[in-house]
Amino acid sequence: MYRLIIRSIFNQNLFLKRYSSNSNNYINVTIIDRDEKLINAKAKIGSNMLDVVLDNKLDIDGFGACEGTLACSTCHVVLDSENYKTLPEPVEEENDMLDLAFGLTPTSRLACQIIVEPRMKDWIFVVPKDVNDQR
Amino acid sequence: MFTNVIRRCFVPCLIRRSLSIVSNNSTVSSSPIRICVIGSGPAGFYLTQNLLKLSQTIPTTIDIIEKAPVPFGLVRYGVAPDHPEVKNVINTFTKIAEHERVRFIGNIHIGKTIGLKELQEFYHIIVLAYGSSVERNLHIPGETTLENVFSAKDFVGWYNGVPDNAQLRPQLNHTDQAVIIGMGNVALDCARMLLSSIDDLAKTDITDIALDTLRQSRIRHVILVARRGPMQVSFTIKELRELTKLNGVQSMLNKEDFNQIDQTMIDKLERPRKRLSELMLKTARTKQSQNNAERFWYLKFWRRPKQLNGKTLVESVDFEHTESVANGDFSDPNLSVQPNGTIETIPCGLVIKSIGYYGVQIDPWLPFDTERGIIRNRQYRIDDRPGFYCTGWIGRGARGVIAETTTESHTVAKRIMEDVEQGHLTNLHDVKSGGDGLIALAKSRQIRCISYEDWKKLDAHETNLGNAKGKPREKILNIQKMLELTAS
Repeated sequence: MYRLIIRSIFNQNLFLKRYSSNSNNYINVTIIDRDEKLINAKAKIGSNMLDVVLDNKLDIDGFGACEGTLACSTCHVVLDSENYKTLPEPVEEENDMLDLAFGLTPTSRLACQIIVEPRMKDWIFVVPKDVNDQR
Repeated sequence: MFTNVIRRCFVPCLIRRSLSIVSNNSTVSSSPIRICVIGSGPAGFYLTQNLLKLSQTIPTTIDIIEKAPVPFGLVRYGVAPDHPEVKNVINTFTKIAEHERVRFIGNIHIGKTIGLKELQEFYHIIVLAYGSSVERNLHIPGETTLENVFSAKDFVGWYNGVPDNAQLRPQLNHTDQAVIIGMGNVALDCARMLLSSIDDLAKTDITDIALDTLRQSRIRHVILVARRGPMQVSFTIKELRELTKLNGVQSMLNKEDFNQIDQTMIDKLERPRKRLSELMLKTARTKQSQNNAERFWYLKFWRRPKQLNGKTLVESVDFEHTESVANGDFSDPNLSVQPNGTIETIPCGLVIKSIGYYGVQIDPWLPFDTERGIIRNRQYRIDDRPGFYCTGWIGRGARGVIAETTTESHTVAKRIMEDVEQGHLTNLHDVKSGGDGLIALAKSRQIRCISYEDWKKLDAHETNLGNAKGKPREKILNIQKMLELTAS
């Protein structure tokens, strides 16, 4: 009887260990879409934020049209200034494409160029509106 | 057994279709709204994508009509061969074309074989998205009489496999100097094709004819000439940066051309123009970096072409120097210039005119602004033509890259669906046959319509041909052959 209990606790620990070591590959981030809806997404470490949007099957119109090759600005995201400052500088080619992004801000980046790191846990990425909604 | 299959599949299908028409509780119509988009380039496809998104609860079908037997417009025929990443949008377009509510219908020339008004029988809503395909001319002596003078549209069409340009035959091996008139992205594309290494070009989808001609090219100096100054250039930074980084190619900008630009002027500019001006400044002020450069490109400002000279082939261009009109602001994008009396002759054996495009009026019934080359419209609604809309270059002018057309298509789709939902379109209750009716009419006029599945057969053939030579594809240049391959 005792053996059963110990074994089930042991197995549970093993199970938790296995689960958490798998989840070490992923962190949780928040993506706010164009309708201002908060979406919790699992971001794989080492992938880029465009991959994250695609892997989580988020329905964001036209996001990532050039498939991450720095030939468009459709994966434009806005970060808060504290997090933005900690990112590596964009390469010139990214800035060239950001030039074309609608609603560009001082803390804008292209999602396809942001590589997911563990420290980005719980970061918020805002997908800005891509057209002027004023009638 | 066969009749059994029909009975089991066909009849339930019919019943399901009629049930769905009866049971849909849309307040707008009891049969699908038929939408027709004329043009299958970025404007047509992105509009379709947005319409699909906004019409999920209203039964609609969208047909994309294309004049050519192949889809994608300038993405296939305009984007440079060495910009394959820009062509990635084709993957998005394919998903749209294969959507159950979308049908691609190629090889139909609206305004020629089928009239614009005739479409109203089959469609409730018609959106013109056919771009701007006519080049602007200089209207100067020698332009139409001398050989080796081309519009950028034809030169681009030649290296990109447009059937009409297959016989262009530019001569590139009797001269080492080319002049390109204009400073937009198309001008830069032409310059880059003339200056890039053959080994790099050989791996792209550039046509074999162009590759062979360029392999024998002796052109070493490409001079881009503009009528105004550095602050009025039309090209964008990505394309300029690319040119400055070409292997074995040296940028030859004149420091003096940038003397009037100071930091105050730069700081007042919007970000894209600011960064572009800074890059030009930096390029002009940096000492020659490439010692083994064999090819050179130049930007010459304040020169307006007056005349082309030569016996049969072009041999030189006369330019009149210009200056800004009184009180002109150096950084004004709409700066006006006037001649200052000096004439300069630049020798060259090839001239490419790249000074913009305008649209055509495909049907006299279409309200058109001939001067601007666009359809008359107010907020994308075509003047005096309820149910007719426009999007892309044909509605706003031939400027801007794909990104701008994509952004615009959101607004146009919204506008159309607003009109639908607010009851501004009075014919929505009519039952219309959409593509079925159009294809039947086309057949009666001996026109063979190309479906998306047909295109995929040609696509596979071109891809296989290309792969055998280490290229992404080898484009078929002959319309008849294209039509044959879509039937195989």
